[in-house]
Amino acid sequence: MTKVIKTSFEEEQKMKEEAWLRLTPQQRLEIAFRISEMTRRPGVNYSYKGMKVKISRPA
Amino acid sequence: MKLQSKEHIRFLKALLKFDVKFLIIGGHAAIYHGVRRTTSDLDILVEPTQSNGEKIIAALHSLKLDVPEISPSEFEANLVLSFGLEPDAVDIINYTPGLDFATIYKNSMLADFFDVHVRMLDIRDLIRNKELLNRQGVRALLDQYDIEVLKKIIQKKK
Repeated sequence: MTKVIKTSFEEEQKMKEEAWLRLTPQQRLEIAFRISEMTRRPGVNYSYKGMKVKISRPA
Repeated sequence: MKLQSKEHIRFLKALLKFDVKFLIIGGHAAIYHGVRRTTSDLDILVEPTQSNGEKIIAALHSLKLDVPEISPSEFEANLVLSFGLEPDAVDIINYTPGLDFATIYKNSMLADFFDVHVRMLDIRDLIRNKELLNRQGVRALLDQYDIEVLKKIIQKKK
C-alpha cells in the first residue's frame, strides 16, 4: 500500500531537488534525455543525413 | 545504457574523431551540474581558430550534413552553425559573452556523456556565462533559474 504523506508544495520541491542532486551527473543527463525523447513525433525523420546546416555570422 | 539521442552521440563522436577542440555548454552543462530541467538542443562551444574550423567542417561532412560554403578562416570571427530537429538539434558557436575559450577549456572537466568522453563547462564558468548572456523573455527567466540553482549547488558543496 502506498503511504500518503502530508506535505507542502515547497517541501515537495525541496525533496525533489535533493533527490535530483543525489543522482550522478550521468543519471541526470539520462533522465533529461528520456524526457526529451517523449517530444519526438512519429513519422518525422530526425536523421542528420542531408539536413541543411544554417550559418549565421553575428557582428 | 541505451543511447537516447543517437544523432547527438554520432555528432559528438564525429567531433572527437576529427580532433575538434570543443566544450559542452548550455542546458546539458546545467543538467550535468545539477539543475533539474530538460533541454531541447545540444550547445557546443568550439575553439575559434582556422585549424579547428577545418576539423569542424570535415566532421559535419562526415555526418552527410548539407554544409553551405564556408571557409575555415571564418571560424576566427563570430559564427553560429545550427542543424537538426528538436530534440536532436545542435548549435555550434565559437564565442560567448565574457568567456575566453582557452581559460574555460582549462577549467573544464572530462565528462562521461553516454559513454562518450567530452569536456563539460565548469559550473562557475556556466554561471558567469548565464549572467553575461543578457537574453530576453523566457530564455532570460531560464537563465535566472539556472544561475540561482547553480549558486545554491556551489554553496552546498562548501
